[in-house]
Amino acid sequence: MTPAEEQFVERFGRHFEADGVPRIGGRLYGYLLLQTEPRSLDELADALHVSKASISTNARLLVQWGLVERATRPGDRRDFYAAADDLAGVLQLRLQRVRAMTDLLGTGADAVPADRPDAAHRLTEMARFHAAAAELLEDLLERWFGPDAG
Amino acid sequence: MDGRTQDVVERMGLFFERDGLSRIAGRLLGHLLLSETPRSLDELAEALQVSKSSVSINVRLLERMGTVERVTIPGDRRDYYRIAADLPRRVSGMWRERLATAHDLLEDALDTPAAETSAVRRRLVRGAALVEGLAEALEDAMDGPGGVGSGSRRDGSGTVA
Repeated sequence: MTPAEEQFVERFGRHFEADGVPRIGGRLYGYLLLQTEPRSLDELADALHVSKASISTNARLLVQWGLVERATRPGDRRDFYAAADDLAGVLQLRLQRVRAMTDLLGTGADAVPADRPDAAHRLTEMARFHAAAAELLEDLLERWFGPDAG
Repeated sequence: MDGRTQDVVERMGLFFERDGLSRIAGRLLGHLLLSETPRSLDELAEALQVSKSSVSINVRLLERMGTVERVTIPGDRRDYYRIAADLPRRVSGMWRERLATAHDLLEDALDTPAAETSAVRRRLVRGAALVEGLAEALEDAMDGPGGVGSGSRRDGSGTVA
């Protein structure tokens, strides 16, 4: 990596870390964004100076978010990873999570005992906020990626 | 805590864990969302059956993330924690800040040698357009008439598809 690329990868790591997500996950995603070919666990561990186990754990998380996808190379049995270019897929996965949080907050609002009006109000407000965010995401998905994406 | 609220707390922990975050931080957030008054570290440790040091680490994480705030009570030397006031607006602000940072990062990456390759360049440009459009749409929804998610939206800028 050139110094500029190295710096980008580190900044991406800190960007993730600020969200409470492992920094290595951010560095890994930042690195993959700059690659044209899928990279093996060995290559990634080597480039980022971390263990293969750590790469593997973090890659799984990124795959779950739709940011990274697994790839194969003909005649090679190893796992390869590449930055996913399916942005609609990333947004759809986010949408699912926002919907799940909406449900959970709604369940919380229903479960909170009657002698806690402030907590009930807060949970209801948060559920409404997440419902609105889900609606917004659906709307954007449809507008940007077509009627089937929303 | 009764069974139903307990269940919400556990589910919040699992939700966090699935996103690569600390399960205890999720359980703490769930517990505080369901609490009517601020809670001390001791109370939180007892309610969630975790060590005080673990509560301390995780509640500070939530504080940094902006969802929880520390309060003091006159005449009481202990620290108390509660859900940050005006949480929806705060969360929306955090999301927008994260999107703005991601946008800056992706734009800056266009100056790296790797971005001279068209596939990488295209990926960075599309990503930057996406996060920018999301940030704008979110800002509109939050600041438009009626406030949080009132349905006031304008077109997100840029084509990302």
